[in-house]
Amino acid sequence: MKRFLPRGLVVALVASTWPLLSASLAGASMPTCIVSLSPTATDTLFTIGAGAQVKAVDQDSTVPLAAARLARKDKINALNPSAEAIAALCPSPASELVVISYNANDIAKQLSTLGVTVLEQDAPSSLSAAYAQIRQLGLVSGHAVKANALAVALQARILGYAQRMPRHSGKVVSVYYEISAAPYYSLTSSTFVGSFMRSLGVVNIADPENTSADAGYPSLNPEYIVKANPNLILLAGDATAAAVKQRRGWSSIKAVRYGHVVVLTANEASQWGFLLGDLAQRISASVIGVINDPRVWK
Amino acid sequence: MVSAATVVATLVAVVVGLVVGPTSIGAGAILADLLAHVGVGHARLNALDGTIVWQLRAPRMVLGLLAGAMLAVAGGSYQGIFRNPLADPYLLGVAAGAGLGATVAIVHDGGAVNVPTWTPWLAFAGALVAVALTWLIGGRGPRSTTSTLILAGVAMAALLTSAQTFLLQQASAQSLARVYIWLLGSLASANWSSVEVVLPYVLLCSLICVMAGRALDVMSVGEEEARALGLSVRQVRGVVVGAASLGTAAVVSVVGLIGFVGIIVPHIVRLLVGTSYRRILPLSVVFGAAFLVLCDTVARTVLAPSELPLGVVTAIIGAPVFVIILSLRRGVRS
Repeated sequence: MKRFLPRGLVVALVASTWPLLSASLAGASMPTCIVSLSPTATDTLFTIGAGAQVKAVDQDSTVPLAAARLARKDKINALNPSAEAIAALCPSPASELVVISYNANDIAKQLSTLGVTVLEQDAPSSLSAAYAQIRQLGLVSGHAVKANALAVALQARILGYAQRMPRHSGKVVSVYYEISAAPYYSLTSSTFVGSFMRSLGVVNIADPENTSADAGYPSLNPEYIVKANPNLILLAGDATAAAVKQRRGWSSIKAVRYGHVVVLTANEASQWGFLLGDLAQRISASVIGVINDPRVWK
Repeated sequence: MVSAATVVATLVAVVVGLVVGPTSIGAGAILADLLAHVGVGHARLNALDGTIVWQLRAPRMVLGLLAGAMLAVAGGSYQGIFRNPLADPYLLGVAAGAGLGATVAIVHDGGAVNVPTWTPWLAFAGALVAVALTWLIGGRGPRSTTSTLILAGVAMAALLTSAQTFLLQQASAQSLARVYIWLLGSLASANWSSVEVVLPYVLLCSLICVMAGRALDVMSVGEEEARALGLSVRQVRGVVVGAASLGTAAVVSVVGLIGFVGIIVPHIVRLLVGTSYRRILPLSVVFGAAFLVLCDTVARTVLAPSELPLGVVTAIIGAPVFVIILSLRRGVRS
């Protein structure tokens, strides 16, 4: 079978290398068997029409339904995968593409040794890097046109939310984005979600706590969160609005007092592909809700 | 009899390590391919199967042999030096030091897609620094005893673990998961380069430990008595602790923290052949190697296409085996 990429090539793609990669892949043929160990990539692949080529996905790829069925079948743990078994999921390494978001067990090198092409797509640091990843997937799966259209539409949609944001002097919304509770992990403006929130003109209470070690995802002291008194709390972890209200001292926080605690779904909160549009919509609607609530600004 | 059985067990482990895997490849074809490599007959494996066997399974199996041998003989040596049946290769802070080193590397790189390449080196350095500090605190001076060394090891492990906990508290949730996976130990990323790194340490250090068997037998009657018999206890202690710690540090830096091997294997061997370290240590080398390769075969096949953490398998298999042998020995004695 004709190979779609040079043998053993591991493609570590970031936005800056996009033009170079586009040139190197021009004229390459499609992989007929894709294994996705990244929930974001799985969702994007199905959205751009590459679903028929996807033969296996990791256990956290639950969107769309067709992917969830595959996830239940193989139950692949992307944090501890077996290179030999992943390679065996497809009839020929020459036709196989594996997409990963984390190089657990040095799987990129091991699959590369077996002649399988590996595409590494970790969490992007900006929205433009997220759009670039969608285009990359389109290019390597043979759906470049559709992927580009999706990236353009997503970019326009997200930009639209920022442009339609009402700007009121003196009404600066402060946000606490909770990834998990006890310890309280949040995200800063240096992450792709944080950069979108910044484009809405909000203040992220985690920004002053950013350190080099946390990669934009610092853990915050609960006392610090209470003192910061955010107007809006976005819950991306397992917590509920009722549970937040029960936390000692948290009832004094404006967001809790006036009911601006928003629970995000697990997929919205953890993926940076097509679902990013839904996340942006939820966040911008929540911010507008705070701006339009006179109780917050009394 | 027991020696022959352990050698057979190792041969079985080697065969199982090469033949058993998520991909079905016949033992005959592997053997023919092996013979073809030395100029006898023709290769019967296709290119893909050949790569799977010789580039994925073989280095993993060899690294398993080396790691199992080193952890087991180091555990046996520590038990002899400290005359403590609960001693294991991590007693003097090797695990805590390596864990701290690996944590620094992984946390520093935050959300990077790859585990930092300098993780093993930092883990190795962390392990050696931990043991060196333990020795400086509890192993030097005329009043130092095995007890002071153990206590220094406990204190050092606690200190380094708390530093590691502090770092993890500062790290992202993503880094936490990666450190956790490293701490559970794995042979999954083994390649011939990692074998080359570990091989000289394991050969040298396990040889030193095995050669110390006679001295450890003398020390088993007590340090004062050993001195009276003309043995330089401090010298033996320094050499054996140094060799066992160096070898363990090298292994741990590449495969992570694999528990249970260093404590269970010497005990199983002791139950089979008696209390002489001249027999326990060499047999621990062989039995430890076989034990870890067999455990790794379970780890990489039972949940395929995912893997089980190797440390979990060593505990699940090792504990019942140990209990069974203990029960059999009691039955024989009664």
